[in-house]
Amino acid sequence: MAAKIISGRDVAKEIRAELKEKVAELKKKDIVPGLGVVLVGEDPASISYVTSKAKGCQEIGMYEETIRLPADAPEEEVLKIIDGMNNDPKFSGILVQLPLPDHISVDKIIGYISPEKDVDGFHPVNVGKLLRGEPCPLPCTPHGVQQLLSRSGNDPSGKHVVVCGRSNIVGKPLAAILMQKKEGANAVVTVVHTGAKDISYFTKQADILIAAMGRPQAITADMVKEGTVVIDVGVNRIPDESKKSGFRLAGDVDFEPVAEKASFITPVPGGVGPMTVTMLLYNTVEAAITLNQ
Amino acid sequence: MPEKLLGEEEVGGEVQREILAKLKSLHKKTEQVPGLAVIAVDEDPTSPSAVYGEEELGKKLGYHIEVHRLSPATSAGKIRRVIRRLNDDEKIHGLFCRFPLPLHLAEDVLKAIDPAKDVGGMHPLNMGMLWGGGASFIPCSALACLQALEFTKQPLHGKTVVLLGHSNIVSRPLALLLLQKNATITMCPALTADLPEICRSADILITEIGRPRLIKGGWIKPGAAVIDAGVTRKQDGALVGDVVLEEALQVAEWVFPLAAREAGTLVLTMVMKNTLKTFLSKTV
Ligand SMILES: NC(=O)c1ccc[n+]([C@@H]2O[C@H](COP(=O)([O-])OP(=O)(O)OC[C@H]3O[C@@H](n4cnc5c(N)ncnc54)[C@H](OP(=O)(O)O)[C@@H]3O)[C@@H](O)[C@H]2O)c1
Repeated sequence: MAAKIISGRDVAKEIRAELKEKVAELKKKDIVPGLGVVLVGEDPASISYVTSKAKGCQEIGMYEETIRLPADAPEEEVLKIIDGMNNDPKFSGILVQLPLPDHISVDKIIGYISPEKDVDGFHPVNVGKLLRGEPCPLPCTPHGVQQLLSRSGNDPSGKHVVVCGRSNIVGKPLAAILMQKKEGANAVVTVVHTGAKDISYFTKQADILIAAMGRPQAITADMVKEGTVVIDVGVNRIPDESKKSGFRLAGDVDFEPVAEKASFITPVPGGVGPMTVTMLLYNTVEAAITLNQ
Repeated sequence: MPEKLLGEEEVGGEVQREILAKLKSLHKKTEQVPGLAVIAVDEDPTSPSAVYGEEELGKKLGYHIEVHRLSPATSAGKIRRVIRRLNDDEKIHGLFCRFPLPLHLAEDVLKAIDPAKDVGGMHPLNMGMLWGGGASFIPCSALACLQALEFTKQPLHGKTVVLLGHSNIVSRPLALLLLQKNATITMCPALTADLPEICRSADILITEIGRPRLIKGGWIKPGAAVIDAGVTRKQDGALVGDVVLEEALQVAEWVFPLAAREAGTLVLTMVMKNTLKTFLSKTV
């Protein structure tokens, strides 16, 4: 295999160590960053995300509180809890775990979180600021991708980045981050999706290729050029009898053959995955700093 | 090939006729007319709105227009007070700041405008709403380009769009809007090494880098659509775009140059269109 592996676990560890130091510094000034999490329902994936967020907070010395509501909790109840957290200085960050049950409007909930405490970066005001290149909390998964690139020595500046996928949580914000005239960005950015006639026409041009489609092994070796940097955001469950859980995780990239051609590549799991929660912690610490200015 | 050249008459004229027809149909229901307040801090002559004139267009469409001229030395606090008053004024349905604004004022001014009256579409809240496709106001310059694309009845699905330079009034919002219409988009900083090659890949080329006549005919894919939103003022006062227009007209299917005088009116027409939207939601 030719490509160097970019380990999300290692980069996440590095960032968490930096955050731990920052939190300790803040404590000397009596500032304790705190994350408030609201979880509605019993979705196992959501429970596991929320647990890893809580663990992350403990690890770096932050305050954390999760409020769990039954799946049939009325929308007003969620709004009331957010209202409380908006006004409670214990919380510098608020996160409502998605997806929400159908009777609750995601837009309404997100719009209700105070933009200063919106550590997911999904509030329309923050999205607008992101697009406009103003300071704002960056959405966690795309921010994690940016960190993986810059911390592995792959500065996107002047490079052609091809982003496969245009979702509101990965593809679009990633494009918005990387197109800015800023450090760690300033790239030529192409966004492709299912509307493109032939995505390989674009992927072959990529100096940096980012797969965020949720399609196992959609990126094959013939679709990438020699020496490209590949970041695989996709997380797909593939049925696998040999595993206790009955499945294994795979990314959007056909890993082995693509790694033969690429210069750098992220594995799944252990690539982008560990970065998301880490950047959430980062946003919560930053919010604490801003709120106390 | 003059039919290849798009301008105000083709694109804006249609929108203006729609506005007039709509207002005529409301005539019996209400005495009120749409009200637009314009804040002009800078009398920059390259500002598209200064090129034409809000009053003139307002009169043509039957709008109530107020232009508030303020010197660039006006403090941010003073401007905010003016805006707050207009936010509360029921006669005013849209509030628009001529751009470019002096840098030290831009932020304050933008955020003081009530997002519900932000007919320029520049408030972060309105920009953020572009993401999911539920925007109340599309930034007026981007809307003008979109209107031009729609006018040509170009199918956008699967098209390759290249956007050169990124401003908050044209490329960034357009990129999102075109993604929603299923185009593939490439966003380039102004100075990209292989610019000619990237340009040649575009079915639709949108440029706003402000480099007079940088883009040659040979950079354009035959049959492409070109939107030239670059506007530079030459020493003799003439406005010039990013594209070598006479060459582009030889190669492209059509060209829409915003540097042309009439394109300023088109942008203003979009401001009027956005203002009508708030007016209708308030009065009907
Ligand atoms: N921390 C993490 O590791 C993390 C975080 C978030 C997401 N993810 C993973 O990342 C993947 C993407 O997540 P998401 O939320 O962005 O998914 P999503 O909302 O389903 O969006 C997928 C995007 O990929 C595009 N796409 C799908 N198949 C394609 C194809 N064959 N060719 C070109 N484009 C294609 C879709 O295009 P259309 O718009 O045209 O449908 C869509 O824009 C998933 O596997 C998810 O599990 C991982």
